[in-house]
Amino acid sequence: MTATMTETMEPVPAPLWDDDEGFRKRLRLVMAWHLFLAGACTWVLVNIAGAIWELDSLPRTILGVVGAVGLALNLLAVVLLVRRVRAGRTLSFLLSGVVALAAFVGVFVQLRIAEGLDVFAGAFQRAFPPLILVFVGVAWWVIARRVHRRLLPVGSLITDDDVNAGAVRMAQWLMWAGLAVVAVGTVWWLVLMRVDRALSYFWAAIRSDPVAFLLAVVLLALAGWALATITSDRSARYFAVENAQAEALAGWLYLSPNLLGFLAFFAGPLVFSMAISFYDWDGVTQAVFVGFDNYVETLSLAVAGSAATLPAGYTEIIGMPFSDSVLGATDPLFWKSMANIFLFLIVAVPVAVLSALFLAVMINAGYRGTKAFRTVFFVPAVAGVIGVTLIWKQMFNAAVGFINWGIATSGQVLNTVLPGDPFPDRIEVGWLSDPNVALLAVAIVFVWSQFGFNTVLFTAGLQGIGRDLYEAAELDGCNAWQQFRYVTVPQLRETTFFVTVTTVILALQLFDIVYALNQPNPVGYPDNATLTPVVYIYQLGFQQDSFGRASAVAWVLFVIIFIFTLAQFRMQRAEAEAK
Amino acid sequence: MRIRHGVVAAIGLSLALSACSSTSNDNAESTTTPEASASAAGPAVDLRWRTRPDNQAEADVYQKISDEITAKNIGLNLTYEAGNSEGSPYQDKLKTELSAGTAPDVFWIPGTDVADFAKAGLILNASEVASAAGFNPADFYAGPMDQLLVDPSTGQKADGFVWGVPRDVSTFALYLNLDLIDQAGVDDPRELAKEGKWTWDAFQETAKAISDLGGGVKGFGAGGWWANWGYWVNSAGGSFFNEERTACNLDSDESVQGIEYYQKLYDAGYGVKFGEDPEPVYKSGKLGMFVNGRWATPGSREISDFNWDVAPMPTGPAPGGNWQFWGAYVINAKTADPAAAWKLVAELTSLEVQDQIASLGANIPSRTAQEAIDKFLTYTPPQNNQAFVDGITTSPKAEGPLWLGNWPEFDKATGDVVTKYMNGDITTDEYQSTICKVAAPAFE
Repeated sequence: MTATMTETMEPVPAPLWDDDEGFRKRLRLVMAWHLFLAGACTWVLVNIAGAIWELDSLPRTILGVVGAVGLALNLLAVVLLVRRVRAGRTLSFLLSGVVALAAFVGVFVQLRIAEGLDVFAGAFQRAFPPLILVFVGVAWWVIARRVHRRLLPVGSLITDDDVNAGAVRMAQWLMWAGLAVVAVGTVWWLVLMRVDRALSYFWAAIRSDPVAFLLAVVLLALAGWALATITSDRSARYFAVENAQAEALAGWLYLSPNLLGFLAFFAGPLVFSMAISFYDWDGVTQAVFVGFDNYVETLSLAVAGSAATLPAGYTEIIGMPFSDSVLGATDPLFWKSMANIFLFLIVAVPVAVLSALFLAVMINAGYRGTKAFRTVFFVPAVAGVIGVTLIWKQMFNAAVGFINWGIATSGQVLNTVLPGDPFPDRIEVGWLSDPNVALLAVAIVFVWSQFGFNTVLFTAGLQGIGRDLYEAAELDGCNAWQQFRYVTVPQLRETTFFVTVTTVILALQLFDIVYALNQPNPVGYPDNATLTPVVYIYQLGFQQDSFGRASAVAWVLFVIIFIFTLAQFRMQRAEAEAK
Repeated sequence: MRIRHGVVAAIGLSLALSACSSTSNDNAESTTTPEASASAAGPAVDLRWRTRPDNQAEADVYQKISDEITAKNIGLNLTYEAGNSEGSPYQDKLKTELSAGTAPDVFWIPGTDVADFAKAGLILNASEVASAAGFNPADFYAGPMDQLLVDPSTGQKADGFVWGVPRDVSTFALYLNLDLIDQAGVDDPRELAKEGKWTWDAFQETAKAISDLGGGVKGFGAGGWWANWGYWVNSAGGSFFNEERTACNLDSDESVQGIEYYQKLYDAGYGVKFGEDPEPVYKSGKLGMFVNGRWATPGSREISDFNWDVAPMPTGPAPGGNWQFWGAYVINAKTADPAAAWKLVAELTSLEVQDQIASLGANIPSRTAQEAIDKFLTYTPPQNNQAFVDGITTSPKAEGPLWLGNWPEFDKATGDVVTKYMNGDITTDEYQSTICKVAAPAFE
């Protein structure tokens, strides 16, 4: 793979397949294809530059970049192919691949397949029995085929005189019978799925814009042909491609489904969110380019003598220590969410890590029944967060929840031994309604949901520590605590680092627990006490239709997570080097 | 090779056969073929529609209604998509689909969202197709209907605008634990209401008497969202907005009087903590009066541990003031066939369909016809359905979109200040001086 990407730009010396005139003609057509693509890109640029297309700023920018880059790369591909440079082959492959993908998406959209699947998904359940029949038919055919192969190996012939002739014929018939079962099952399935409706649906979709559909199909066919040509053996020989390079190209092809998925569903949205963070966009109407305004509005801070003297647009977020001055911000909710999440980190992460370490040590000590506990502790890691959080929500209820009941009952037990009955009969801590404790409730659920998985990680780390280290420590007179302090903890450094980093990242991305605990109140309730950055992103995007601002906050959060992780890596490396 | 040809032939044959078998009927959905519809009313139009059911029983009824409309041969071939049953993901998904151009042709949205959807050009002004079909807005409660006939540029009702039709309406009532009221030895709120004595003070006395039972029993409980505290604002003669709905009015003396009274009820410890979900408390039999809408009825019908019924909300200084909650069926601006989409909206808001849904307990028909009200009153328990009818008809305030403002922003900003006030973090004066200041950006 790397070989393909780092191919030399030098022309290939003394080509071995100079006389492959047939391929040269095909290659010329491939070059023509790239010139056509370059022309299409030019057409896009002309229409944009001449304002012939009435486009909003965001699509204009995206199309402009795509047009310019497409034009440059297609011309470069032609030049490299003319010069018979191997990199030209790779570039041609990539460009044709992108066009094929775009055309495929075009066909997909024109046929309204996504909506169609939605429509026909309802029929799938009732059409399931025929699929069982199809499966039986396929299994039948496979077994019959294996029997047939055993009786008649591939390449061998049989005559009527052979003793196996009857059995071979029988096996053949069984194969046909299996196929018949598959056919019957398929017909039945198609009937139940109302394939006629599907076909009429697709036909209606095509008729709604036949030109666009035809264009997408033609482009898909042309791109497919160009891809087949450029990846053919003759192409490889023409460009004197070495085996490793050919294999690399094949490797890319095999990787492409995953890679395309990554590009479409991860990298694509990532780049898109970066782009729209520079726009004022409600997700539907025209996006307006605002430069860094979204970032400025998110991050701006100002100090003033009092709240009244803060610049216009600023709201006080905190009083400055040792003075009467106040700190104001243009987006106080962003800073509130940041303050919340750092407080959350300080409380929840150490508990989630240390409790897991404690439990792992207990499990590793090999007490009776620890295997069962190991399974029990892992349950939170596999339980659905929303479902579990809803149970926690019931338990946190101030009036009838188990938590308050448990605390009050414990107090009653203590009252029996303490003078003066200091604990009340009932307590009503508003775990979900009191701004002073709401974040603590979130932290409790987070720690509960995390410590199981962390325990497993620590247990794995503990099992990797050699017994001899403990024996040596014991010989040196170390007690159990000293063995833990001077053997276990240093040996678990890398595991602890991993657990801490992943827990911090998960904590910074906290959303689902807050969302479920807050229902039916607004997310971040009460009084923004549980507002986290991701919850705030959700509020900005989906509740206030401000996707530009939401994206800006998302990127700020990304930078914070990146800095955090980097700092932890640096600290760990420095510590390791110091030792 | 022969086998491969065989597989291809088998699949080809199966496709050919299936193409010839398109009229087989095995369920309600397939009882009407496009051809059959075509013979009755021209080619059947494929339409997708969606609403947010309150529970699975409602989702099933909506599916049945969808199939029945398709089977009527009126040229509609429907696909029903049940939305999420609770919470905001319904709107999140819908907005994403609208943005991507894959939303259904007809869908339901809450009343507060209509303005945002209309102003963003996401829903169709169905005035033309509605007029052509002889639509009469007077058939529906004026509160919600007037909000659907608004010119977005002025924020006022005007000819030439029909943004949708109300699916149903609802209002607040007090779900009573009759056993606790009996134990507390106070007068039955239902009887007090009949005598015109069910006032704020009577409510306070009842709540106090029930709370005094001890053992964690609470007099009343309500959610923390805007309508709950908003009722007391309305009931005091205040309001969320000015007359033109162009500015905040929560700082008016009447509005403040309402929320101050409400805050004192919590301060006195008569209520389930503000912001706590009171439903588990009510269902556990430890709540005397539970403020909730008609949508809480199906859940209450599952209660077998105590006797329950509903009473009207207590009367304050101003008469009525209960909320008229509503949501509307609207048409996707990108629908291919607006006339067919309107036909579907008309079918879904017919008396018969509204009656089918209302019989399940969670909704009240949005049509004003006496027949609709008479039938609704028979859908018991609760026995005292009249409490809901009174709430809807006695000077109600329709929950409404903010045509010249931003409702989500208003809701968020004011909700934060109200939570602070209810929790005792700010004084009444601070509340009064802050509440409309924080809401002002919602009107900019």
